[in-house]
Amino acid sequence: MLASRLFSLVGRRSICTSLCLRAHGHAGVVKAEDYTLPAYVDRRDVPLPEVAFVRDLSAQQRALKEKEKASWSALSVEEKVELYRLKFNESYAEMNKGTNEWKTILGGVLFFLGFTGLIIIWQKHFMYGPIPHTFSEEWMSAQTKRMLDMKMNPVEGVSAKWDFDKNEWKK
Amino acid sequence: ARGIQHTSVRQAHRKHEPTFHDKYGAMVLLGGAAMFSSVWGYVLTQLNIEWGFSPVGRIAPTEWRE
Repeated sequence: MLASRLFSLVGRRSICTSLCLRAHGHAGVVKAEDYTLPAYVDRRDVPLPEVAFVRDLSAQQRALKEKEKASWSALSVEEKVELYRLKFNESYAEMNKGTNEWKTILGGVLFFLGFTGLIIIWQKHFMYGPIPHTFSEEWMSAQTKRMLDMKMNPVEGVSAKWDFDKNEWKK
Repeated sequence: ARGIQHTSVRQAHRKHEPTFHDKYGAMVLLGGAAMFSSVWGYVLTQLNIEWGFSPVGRIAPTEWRE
């Protein structure tokens, strides 16, 4: 009741707006967006997509579609392939084909790991100080003998790996 | 992915354009491997970094008592 009173005040025409535009089918004013329509998709788990791949057919292709309505044995091999390519973009073989992407990826990874090595070279040259004197050959060998003399880690560690009878490392 | 809706060109599917990976993939892989091995070969051997390897099998013990 109140709504109709409101209509008579405002005027019925102006309420129409977009709804009426669509209903009147003003082509080009408001048309359905592509993303709202059923779409073609190349997926292994969708063997028959909702629409054919090629939407707008040329005259030649439309003639072929007409010929398709008759007996299929009348079609040549090229025509059959053309009909297939109208309906589908990639065949399953093309879809499943691998790429060479792994080469780029692996090469890139190795490159940047190599760059990390360059950073370490820079650090050693410009940043690290000298190695402590306890890493010299003489010190290390004396240190090792002292470790063995006090039987350090005799169960599984360094003394366990030394043969005390033959005086050499165990083979 | 949504296929490109277009009037089919007869040769459209016959030959897919070689991708970046087809053209340069092998080169990138070999270049990266060469760079990696050269840099890290240098770091591991020539740079005089103390890696702290175990003395087992490596160091010959010498007398320490004065």
